[in-house]
Amino acid sequence: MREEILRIENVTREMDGITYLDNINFHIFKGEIMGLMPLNNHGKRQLIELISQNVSIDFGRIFFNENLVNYYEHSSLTNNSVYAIDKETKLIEDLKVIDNINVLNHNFHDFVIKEKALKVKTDELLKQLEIKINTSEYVSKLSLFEKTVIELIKAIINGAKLIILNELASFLSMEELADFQKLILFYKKRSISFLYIANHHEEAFKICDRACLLENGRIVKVIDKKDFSDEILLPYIITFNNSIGLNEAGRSTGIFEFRGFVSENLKNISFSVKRSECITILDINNKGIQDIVEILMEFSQPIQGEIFLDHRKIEPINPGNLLRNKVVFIPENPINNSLFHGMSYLENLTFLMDRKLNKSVINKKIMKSIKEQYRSLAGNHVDASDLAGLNTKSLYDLIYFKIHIFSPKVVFIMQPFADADMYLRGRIIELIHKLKEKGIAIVILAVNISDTLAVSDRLLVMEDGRFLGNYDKKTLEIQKR
Amino acid sequence: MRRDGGDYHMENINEPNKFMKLFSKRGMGQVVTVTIGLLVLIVVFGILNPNFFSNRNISNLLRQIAPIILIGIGQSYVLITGNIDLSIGSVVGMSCMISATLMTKGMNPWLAVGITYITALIIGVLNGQLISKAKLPAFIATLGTMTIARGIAQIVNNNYNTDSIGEAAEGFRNFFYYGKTFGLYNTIWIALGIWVVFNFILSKTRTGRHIYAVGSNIHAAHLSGVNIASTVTKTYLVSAVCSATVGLVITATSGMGTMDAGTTYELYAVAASVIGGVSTLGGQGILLGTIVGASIWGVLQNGLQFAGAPVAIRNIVIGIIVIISVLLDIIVRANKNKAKIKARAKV
Repeated sequence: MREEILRIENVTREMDGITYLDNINFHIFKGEIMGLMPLNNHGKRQLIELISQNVSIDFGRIFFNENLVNYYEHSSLTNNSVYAIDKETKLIEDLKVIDNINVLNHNFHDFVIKEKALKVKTDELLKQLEIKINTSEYVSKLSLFEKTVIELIKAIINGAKLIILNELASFLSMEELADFQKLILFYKKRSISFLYIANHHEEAFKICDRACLLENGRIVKVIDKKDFSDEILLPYIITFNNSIGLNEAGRSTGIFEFRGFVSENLKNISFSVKRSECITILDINNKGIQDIVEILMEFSQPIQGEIFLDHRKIEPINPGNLLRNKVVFIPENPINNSLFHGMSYLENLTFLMDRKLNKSVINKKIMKSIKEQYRSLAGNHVDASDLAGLNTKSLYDLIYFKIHIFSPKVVFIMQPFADADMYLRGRIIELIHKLKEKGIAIVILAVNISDTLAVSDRLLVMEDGRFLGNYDKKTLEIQKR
Repeated sequence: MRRDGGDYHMENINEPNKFMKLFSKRGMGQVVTVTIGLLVLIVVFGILNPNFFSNRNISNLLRQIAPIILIGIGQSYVLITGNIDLSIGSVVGMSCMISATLMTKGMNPWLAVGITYITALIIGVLNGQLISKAKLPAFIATLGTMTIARGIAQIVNNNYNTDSIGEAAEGFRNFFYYGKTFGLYNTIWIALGIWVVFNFILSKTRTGRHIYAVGSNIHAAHLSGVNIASTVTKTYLVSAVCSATVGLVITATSGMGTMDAGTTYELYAVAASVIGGVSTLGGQGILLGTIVGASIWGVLQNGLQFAGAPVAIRNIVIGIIVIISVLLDIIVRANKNKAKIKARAKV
C-alpha cells in the first residue's frame, strides 16, 4: 500500500463568519503530483496555509506523513515539512545563491561559513540536476525562473516533503515551465510530493498523477490520470468562445506601430495593431515582453525604436506622453498596481478624465453624469468612499471601466489572466471585448497563452526577443485541430 | 459560457442617506470624530474657567492657532504624498530673520516679504528635488535642509537677532499680526485665506488628485501619467510658502528677527495634521482635519494654561494625543485591510 504524505479529512475552516474550507477531503501519496484546479480562488489561500501550518480548524483532522498533526479540538500551530512556491520569492535577494541554499537552512550549524566548500557542494548538486546557475551570484540578479528553481532546491535541502506549486504558468514562460516540470519529475522519483495548483486543466493534466477541482472551498471532483480528458471537466468548466468574430490579419499597417525596437532582450521587434483589433504577444522564454513594459514605463531606454500612432511619431516615450496620446498600460496584478485604494470609486473611475477633458477641475455635472452612467454597470459601488469593501470582480470592473471611460486608442495589457480564477477570467474576457467594441486596439503581453486566444485576433510568438511567427485565429484553430 | 458565471451579478446596495454620504467622504469620518473631541475639550475648559469663553481669549486663541493651521497645511500636503517635512521650523526661522534683517537695513517691507518667499521657495524646490529626483529619503533630505535653513537664519545677521524693524514696517506688522478686518485679527484671515486656496487645490483640482495618488499608490500614479517629481515638489513648495508666512507673522508679532523662531514647529505641524486625520503613511486626510487638529492643539495649550498646568504637563498631554491619533490611524487602516480581505473572499 502506498504511503501518504498528506491526508485531509472532513476539514472545515471558518474565519470572520466566512467558510473558507468546506468539508475538504483529499490525500496525496508520497512521490505523487496532485493537481489542484481552483474554479474560483475562494479558499485556495487558506488551504495552502492549512497544509503548511497546523492552524486552527473548525472540523475534521489532518495527517502529515501518516501522523495526526491537526484536528478540530487542538491545533498546535506547528509547521509541516511543506514549502509553497509562488511568484513572490521567499529567498533573500541580497544574499548569494549558496547562502540561500545552504546557510539559510535548518541543518546548517557551522559558525564559520566555508564559502568555497559550499560552492563546490552546490555546484555539484546543480550539475547533477543539469541546471546552469552561477551559485556565487546574488539572488537579486537571477531571473524569476532561476529564483524558482533555487527555491525548489532550497526547499528540498531544507527537508520539505511536500511542495506546493502555486500557478507556475502565471510567471514562468512555456519554455521555462517545461524545464521546471522536468525538475519536478526528477524529485518526484525521489519520493517528494507536489501539490500542483493550476488554473488550466491542460497544464495540470500534462504532469499530474491525479487532480481535483476546488470550488467555493469544496473539493468538487477528484480525477485519476486515466480519466484525464476535456470531457470529464465539461460540467465544471467555463469555455470562452470568441463571440465577436475574427479579424483577418490585414496587410495595411495599424493605427499603432511599434517599429524596429532593439534593447537588451529585443532584437529589432516591429508590430502594429488596428482599431478594434486585439493581438497577443506570446513570449516563449519571458525575455522580450519585460523589455517592452520597461520601455513603455520609461524604466529603461531602447537602443533604437520608434512608436507611431496614426502615422504620427510619439516622442518621448514615457507614461505621461503615452497617456496624452491615448496609449494606456494595464500592469500585471492591476488591483495593486493601478488602483488608488484610499480614493473613492468615482475618483478612481475618473482619474484619467482630466487628461481627456484637458481640465484641472472637472465640472460637478460631468462627475454626476458619469456616476449615474456607471451606476447601471457597477451598482452602488460608485458611491464607495474607498475601495476596501469591494470584491475582486468589482475591482477588475473598475480597472477596465476606467480605461473605457478614458477611451484610449491603444491599451497594452500585461498578463491579464494571471492569478485570475475561472469566473474572473470569464469576466476579464467580457471586459476586454467591451474595449474592443469601443474601437480600442489591444496588445496583450503574455508568457502563456492561457485564455488570451478567446479575445485575440492575432498571435505573435516571440522567442529570445524575436518574432517566430504571426498567426491569425483561424490558422491557430486549424493547427489545434 | 457553458456555466453561468452568476457570481458576478451586480450587488444591490441601498442608496446611502445624506448623513452617511457626509461620513463616506474621504477623511470625513476622522474629522467628525476629532471635532467631537474638540467640542468636548472646549466645554470642559469652559466649565473649568468661564474666562475661557471671553471675547479676548477667543480672539487670542484664534490668533494663536492660525500659525499652527498654516504650518499644518504645509505638513499635511507633504504627509499625504507619504513624505515628511522636517525643515518647516527652520524655514519659519529663516523667513523671520531674512525679512527682519532686510527691513532693518531699510528695504521696503513688501519687497522684503517677496524676497523672503523666494528664499523659502528655493528650500521647497530643493526638498522636492532631493526627494523625488535624487531619491533621498524625505526624513534625511529635510533633516539636511532643516540644518541649512537654520544656518541661514543664523548667518543672515551675523549670528545676532535683529534690531527692531522700525516704524516704516508698521503697515507690514498690521497686515500680518496687529490689524483687524471685520473684527478678526488679520493673522486669522491670512490663515483662512491660505486654507481656502490650498483646500480647493487639494480637493478639487488635478494637482490635488495627483497628490493623493502619489501617497496612495506611487506605482499606479506613475502608470497613470502622474509626474511624481513635479507633484512631490509642489507639496514642498506649499509647505515652504506656509512656513514663510508663519515666519513673517512672527516678525510682525515681535517686531524683530529671532534666530530660534519656529524651533520645533515641524513637530507642531505633524501634530496638527495627524490629530486631524492626515495619515503619516500617505494618501489619506483632508485639510479640514488640519484645522481641527490645530484647534485641538491650541485649545489644549490655552485651556491647560488657564487651568494652571505647567508647560511640561501640556507637552505630555499633546504628545499622548499625537500617539493616540497615529494609533487610531493604524487601527483604522488595519480594519480596512481586514475588510478588503473579507470583500475579496466573497464569492
